Formats: sequence, C-alpha cells, structure tokens
Amino acid sequence: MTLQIFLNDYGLPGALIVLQILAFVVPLLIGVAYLVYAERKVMGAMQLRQGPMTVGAFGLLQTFADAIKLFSKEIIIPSAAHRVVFILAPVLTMLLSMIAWSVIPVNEGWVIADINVGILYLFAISSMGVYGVLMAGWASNSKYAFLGGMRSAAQMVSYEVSMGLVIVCVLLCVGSLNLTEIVTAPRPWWVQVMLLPMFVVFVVSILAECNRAPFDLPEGESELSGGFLVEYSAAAFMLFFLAEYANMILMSAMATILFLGGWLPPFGIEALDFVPGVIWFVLKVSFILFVYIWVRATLPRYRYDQLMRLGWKIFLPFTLIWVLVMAGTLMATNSLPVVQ
Amino acid sequence: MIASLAFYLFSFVLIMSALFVISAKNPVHSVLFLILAFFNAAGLFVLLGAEFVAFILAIVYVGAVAVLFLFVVMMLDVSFADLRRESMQYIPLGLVIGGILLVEMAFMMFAWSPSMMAGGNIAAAAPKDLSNTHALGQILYTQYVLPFQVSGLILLVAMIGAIVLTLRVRPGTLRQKISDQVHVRREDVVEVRKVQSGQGVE
Amino acid sequence: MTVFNFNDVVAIAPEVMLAVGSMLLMMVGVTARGGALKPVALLTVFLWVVTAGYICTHGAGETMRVFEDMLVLDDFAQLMKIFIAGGAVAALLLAVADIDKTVMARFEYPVLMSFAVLGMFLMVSANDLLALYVGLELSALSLYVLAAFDRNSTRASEAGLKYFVLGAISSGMLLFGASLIYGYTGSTQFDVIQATLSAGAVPGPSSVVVLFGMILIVSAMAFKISAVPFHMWTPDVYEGAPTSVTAFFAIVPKIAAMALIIRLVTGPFEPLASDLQPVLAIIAVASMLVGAFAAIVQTSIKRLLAYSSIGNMGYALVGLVAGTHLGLSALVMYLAIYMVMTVGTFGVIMLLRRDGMAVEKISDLSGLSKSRPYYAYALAILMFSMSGIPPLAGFFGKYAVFQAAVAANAYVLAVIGVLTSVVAAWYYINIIRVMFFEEPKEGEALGLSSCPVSRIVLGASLLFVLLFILAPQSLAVISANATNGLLK
Repeated sequence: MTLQIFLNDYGLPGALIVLQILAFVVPLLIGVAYLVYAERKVMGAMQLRQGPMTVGAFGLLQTFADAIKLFSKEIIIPSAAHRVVFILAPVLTMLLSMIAWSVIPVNEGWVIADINVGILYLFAISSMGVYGVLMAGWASNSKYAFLGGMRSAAQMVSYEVSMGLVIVCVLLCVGSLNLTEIVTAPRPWWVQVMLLPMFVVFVVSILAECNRAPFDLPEGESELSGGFLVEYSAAAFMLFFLAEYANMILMSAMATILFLGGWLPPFGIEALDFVPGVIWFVLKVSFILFVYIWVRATLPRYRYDQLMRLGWKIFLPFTLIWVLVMAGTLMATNSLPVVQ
Repeated sequence: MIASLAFYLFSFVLIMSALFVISAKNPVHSVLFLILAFFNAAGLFVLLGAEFVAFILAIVYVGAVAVLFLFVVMMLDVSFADLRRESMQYIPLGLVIGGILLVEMAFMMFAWSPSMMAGGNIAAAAPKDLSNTHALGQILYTQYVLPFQVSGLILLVAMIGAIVLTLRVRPGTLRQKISDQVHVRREDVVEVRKVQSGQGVE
Repeated sequence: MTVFNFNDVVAIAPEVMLAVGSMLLMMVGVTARGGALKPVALLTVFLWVVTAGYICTHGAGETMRVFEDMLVLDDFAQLMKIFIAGGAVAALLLAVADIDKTVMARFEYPVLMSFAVLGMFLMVSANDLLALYVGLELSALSLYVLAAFDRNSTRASEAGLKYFVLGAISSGMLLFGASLIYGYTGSTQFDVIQATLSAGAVPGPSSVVVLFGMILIVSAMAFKISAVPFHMWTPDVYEGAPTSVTAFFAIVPKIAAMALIIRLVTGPFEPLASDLQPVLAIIAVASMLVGAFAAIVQTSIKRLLAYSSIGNMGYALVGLVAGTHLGLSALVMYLAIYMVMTVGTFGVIMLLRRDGMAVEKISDLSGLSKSRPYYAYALAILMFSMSGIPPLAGFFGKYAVFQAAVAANAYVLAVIGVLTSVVAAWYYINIIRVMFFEEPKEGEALGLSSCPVSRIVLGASLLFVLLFILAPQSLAVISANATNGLLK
C-alpha cells in the first residue's frame, strides 16, 4: 500500500520527468551530430569542396562513424596530469551543456521546468562553462593546454559582462525573467529596432562564449596546437567536442528566445500560425547556427589583445550606454512593463 | 520529503566542501571545492524560495569571482606546503578564536530568544503574489536606495583603487593604434612607379 | 509600499554634492591626461569648502531623519561634518606640497580622499546599521588604497596591506555584532533598536548575546580610532604610509569614527550604557597608558605621532565614559583642538625636508632652532600644546575632559588621565629638547618645501593654538549645542 502511494507520489512524476528529459536530450544529440555534419558541408560549399561524402548517402552518417571511432579508441591520460580533474573537466562541460536545456521552451508549454528566473539559470550555466576549459587546461599539466585555459577564462569572463547587460536590455522591455514570458511579452516594433544592436552584440558574444571562430583562442590550433584540448583523446575529447556543439545550439536557442521570438512565427505574421511552433524554433536556431558556421568560414582568428579590446573597450561601454538609452526611452514613452 | 532530502544533501555537500577548502593540499583543489560550496549555497537559497539570490550567487560568485580566483591561483608559483608550515604556528590562536565563535554560535542556537518586539520590527516578508525578483526590486530602489547607491560608490572606489595600485605605463611597449590604421590612405603607403625593364627602381 | 522620496535627496545635498563632485573630478582627471594633480586637488578643496559652506548655511535646526530613517541630520552630524571637511581641506592642502614630485603625483589621490570624506559624512549621519556599514566601508576602502598609494615603496605597500587585512577583520567583527543585534531586536534601525532594548530587561542568555553584539561593534569602532587593544596597525601604517597620507589618517577618520561611537553609545546602545561603560573605560585607560609609555622609546616622528594619537583617543574617550552632556561636549571640543594641533604638527614635518623628502626621524630635527628657528618655535608651541600646557589650546581640551570625568565621579579615569599626560609631556618636550639643545647633525641643514599654501595652513593652526585662550568659551558653546540633542 505504501509502495503504491510512493509510486503515485514520486514514481510517476519521476518517470514523466525522465521521459521529458529524454525527449529533449535525444533530439539534441542528434542535432549535435547533424550540426557537425552541416558545418562540414556548409564550409565545404563555401570553400568549393564537397565535405563528407562517403559514409551513408551524402555522407549523412559521417558523424556517427566518427563517434564510434572515438569511443572505441583508448583514452590517454598523461602521467603528469591530475587524473580526477582531467576526467572531470569533459564530464562537467558535457553536463553543463545538457542541463541548461531544462528551462528552454521550444514551444508554448514545451519546457521541462518553467522556472521564474529561467534566464538567470541559463546565464549561470553558460558562465560556468568556463570551468571545464580551465580545469582541462590546468589538469593536463602542459604549457599549451594551460595557456588555452587561461585565455578561455579571461575571454569568457570578459564577454559575460556585456552579455549580462544585453540580457538586462531585453528584460527591461519584458519585465520578467521567465523564458516563456520573455517570448510571449508584447514588443512594439520600435523596441525590436532598438534591440537590434544588442542582438548583434549578443551574437558576437556567444561566439566568444562558445570559444568559436573567430574567438577560438583557447584552442588556437595554429599557435597552441589545440590549446586546452591538446592532451585529450578518444571519448574524453569527444565529450568536449559534443559539448561545444551542444553549447552552440544552446546559445542559439538563447538568442532565439531573447531576440527572435522563440516559437512564434516571424514578424508576427498570423498566416503562418499553422506551422507548429517547434518548427519555427528549430528554423530560427538553425539560422543562428548557420551564422556561426558562416563566420568561421569567413573570418580569421582574432589576436588576444584585439579580443580583449573588443570586449572591454567597445562592447562594455556600448552595452552600458544602451541600457541607459533603452531604460530612458521606455520610461519616457511610458512603455515599461507593468508588474502584475 | 524531496525538499528535506535536498536540504540535507546541499548542506552536507556544502559543509564537506567547505572543509576541503581549508584542508586540501593543492590550492587549485581548494578553489574547486570553494566553487562547489558556492553552488550548494545557491541550492539552499533555492530551497528557501529565494531563487533570484540563488542564481545571482551562482552567476556572480561561481561564474565570475571564482573564475578569477582560480585564474590567479593557477598562475601562482608559491609553495603552499611551506606557507602552511609557517602558518601552523598560529593554529592554537586560531583554534581559540574559532572555539569562542563556535561557543557563541552554539549558545545562540540553544539558549537565546529574540526580543518580544522583534517580531513586529522585522520587515514584512514579500507579498505572496509577488515573485521575489519583483519584491527585491521594489525595496532596493525605494527603502534601501541609499545603501544600494553607496554600495555602487564602494565598488567604484574599489575599481579606482585596483587601477591606481596596479596600472603601470611601461615605456617602449608597442600598441596597436586602430584609428591610425584605419585612417591610412593609399597615397601614404603605396606608390606606383613605372619601372623601365632592366633599369630597376632608384 | 514605500516610494522613493526626492525630498530626501535634497536633504542630503552635501553628500550628493560630494558624490557627484568626486565622480566629475575623476572624469576631469582622466580626460586631462598627465599633470592633472594640481587642478584636481584644488578643485577637490573647492568642492569640500563649498560643501562645508553649504552645511554651515543650511543649519540642521530640528533633527531630520531621511531615507526611511537610514540617516539622521542633526546639529551633531552637522558640526562633525564641518570638522571632517575642514580637516580634509587642511590635510589636502598640506599634501599638495608633499606629493607634487613623487610617484604619488596622480590625480586619483584627492579623488580617493574625497570619497573617503563622503564615506565619513555618511558615518556621522548613520542612523541604521546598514548605512553605518556602507559609509564605513566607503571611507575604509579609500583609506586602504591611500595607504598603499606610493606603490613603489615596499613599506607603503606593507602598510596598505596590513591596514586592509586588519580593517577587513574589524569589518567582520562589525558585521557579526550587527547580526547579533539584529537577531535580538529584529531591526537594524537605531531608534528601533533603542526602543526595543529599553522596552524591558533583556532576559538572561539573550543579554549576553546583545552585549556580545554591542562589544563587537564597539571594538570595530575602536579599531577605526585606533584605541587599545585594537591599535596594532596604527604605528606601522603611520610609519609606512606616505607622510601626506599619514596626516590625513591622523586628522580626519578619527573624527568620523569617534562621532559614530558617540552616536552608538548615546543612541541604540543607550539602554545598556551601564554595561558598556566599563568596557569603554578599560579601552580609554589602556589607550592612555599605551599612548604614553610606548611613545617614549620611538625614534621615528611618525611612529611617535601614532602613539600620541592612540593616547589622545584615550583622553577623548574619557569624555564619553563620563556619559554626561558635559562629557560629550568636552569630547567634541577635545577632538576639534586635537585636529588643529595635528594639522600644525604635520604641517611642520611636511614642510621640512631632508634630501627632498619629509623628515622621518626625531634626530633629523636636532639643532633645528639654529637652522630653521621659526619652524623650531612653531613645533615647540605645538608640542607644548599637545602636552597640555596652559595657556595653549591643548590645555583646554584636556581640562574640559578631565573636568567632565570628575563631575561624573570618574575620579580614577581623571587621575590616570592626568598622570599619563605627565608621562606624555615627557616625550613631547623631548622633541623640543632635541630641537633646541642638541647640536645639528653633520651634513646640510634641513631644506624647506616651497609651498606657500602649507605655510598658511600651518600659520592658521598656530594662531588657533595660541589665541584659543582669548575665546575658549566659543568652542565650548558650539560643542555643547551640537551634543545637546544626543542625550535625552
């Protein structure tokens, strides 16, 4: 009898949560696989080559082949490395890129945990991503890895500041920290226009936050021969690899929710309402992911001082001023959101 | 039940990691445990229903402060074992002070009761229908606007102080002057000459 | 729901002026690029003078409580703010001569001082533990940086670090104490704390907790005024910090911290004053003793002045222990006189130079009467005044304090005070002996700083010390008026 009650109280909800998590994680991992594939294909097209071709039709199974290969290889741990931290780093990175998804609404009500302060949760998780890199860099006990870790720490902390201010701008017009409300809150067109520069800053900042080109200094193949990844191999490497792409998708989803209206049809066109929200969401995320790849294929890597200059001397003052401008405008036009 | 389980989990991990912070041999491990402690403290705040404070704690302390901590500690080249040995001589004094504080705390927990009037004095909790972010925002900019603004000034002073004490202008360093680069004109740097074959440029 | 009240901002116009002015000066300094120290310093002085003038002309009249009773604006706060601003003006004018050519010639120096002054303004007006804490931290943080301002000097860095670490501990004590008080009373607001504590006898164990809280807070304050046993930092910081900074430390923050102690003891802790009195008495006696005896063996002028300030804070505390209106007004008067004497003493020290630097050793002064007779006489007058010899100003300060102690039947304190004054007089007069009766050291005579402003400041302080006897009652009346509202 008590078992029955226990199952009713905790067993069923627990199972439901597990199912919900699976419903998010499985598509996410498949998404990661095809993001890798898409990156290779798109960059191939931009560089006038074919990209993966042989494994499966159009090379569609290439990523899975790579994954199986990496999994079956031996994990090499350098003898001078700090074993625990060395293994913990990729695990932590992967974990963080997964748990952030628990608050992301991909459609009206399609969210695992619709918490009050969802955007803060996302921001907190994304700012913790730096630990994986930092720990990896330190635990490897190698110069290149260490330099990569240090760079990553400085870079991510710098860009988080402007990211935070960008988020504040959005929150000013929305009046809620809940992600669903951020999407559904009405925004006049001129507010959207005013948010446009912040969108640009945000997209550049998430490039830096994900350590993606042109801000891939922590890796820096040409100068650090792989940076924090230099000592990693096989499954551990793959975790980092997966986490990087999962993070890209996460950050794109964040940008979609903050600026592109989440699952709502673009520009509020009601005729497009028949398309399920989740499709719009995926399309919008894909658009930003395409920008990621596009940028990577186009721009050379920034030098470290240029990266810092952009973060501290351009983005930070600009976003700070913009917060003031937005707050002032909203206040002057009396369109600040009202607390219920 | 879940809530109390979570409470014991968070508290236990918090206390254990706090213990490891001061006992770990490797300072980097200490900082990592410190991060874990922050994280669990944030968890406790969530249990209290103060989710805004919890996530701000995670963002500010875990996401920024501890990163810089770790950054510095990793770069330090100090033998912490030696430092520890030196500081060992102060252990008795530390134990005495710590002991006194502990006794005070214990004393307060068991034997002390707030004044009869305290209940009326304590600021009213946030209204039920208000999320705690809104509630915080409402008092931060009204009732507590003065300490809030002065805290801003304190941070400004801290920033000025850090710059004053550390920024050094080294002579002879090369700096990229972006505006100079942008304002370079074609005439300044390129000259097109017609070169007769076999003559070379003079 | 409370609504932000703009009238409150108008009421604290001096603080707002200081805050905005300091930030503007910061911007002036940053945009001026190099050589901005002089103009920024003069503008800072101007800012302080304007602020002080504003406070003088906009008399508090009746007591006002603003920002949800966070700050209190009364005659006492008003007078203390004028003292602070005046002391700061004097200290900065003295400093300008000293810092011009050293590594310290950076415009942040006066700006940080200005923020420190703002913090002290908030401290003396504090009517809530929160306001107290933020004001205290604002001033303390600026002072830590100032102590280490001469960053190329290891001694200055050490002084800054020491001051910072110990200051952080004292802040910790303050916070712990505040949390205990809050835990019992349920409020951080001074009036509410007072009402709650006086509502009825505090029951057994809780009284210990409240007492602990009070003592922790008072200890933190004692740290700020460098009273024994929280004085350890003072000699090292005074000696290590650049002389101009030491002058500021000796003159200004003491007033603010002392004002805060007065406010605490007469305000929220007033119901338990009888418990607090013995603690304050012990602190006062210990400070007087340490100040008198430890100073005898010093060879560095700055260390000597550090111990002298410890002793002087002890005398000042005697007025507080007396606990009467007479005692409080004597304390305020004592503070004012001590401030002026310190300004003069540092004025002399910073005007005299050895190898381009301010003098550091007592032996540097030997034979000063022959090489720089005017300065020797000036310093002699100040030292006589410090040791409390009539008819100079210092005498009246001590007299008022001891008189108050006797009136409150605190005979032991008065006797110890007089005895330690005699001991202290020995080392003050020792300086005079060195100046007048020792042969000058080998090598060139002491140089002089060429700053006319410093001389004017020194002259003003000398005039005050010499002419105080002509109207001793005026300051006494001012102090009595200011402290009138404190005791109910």
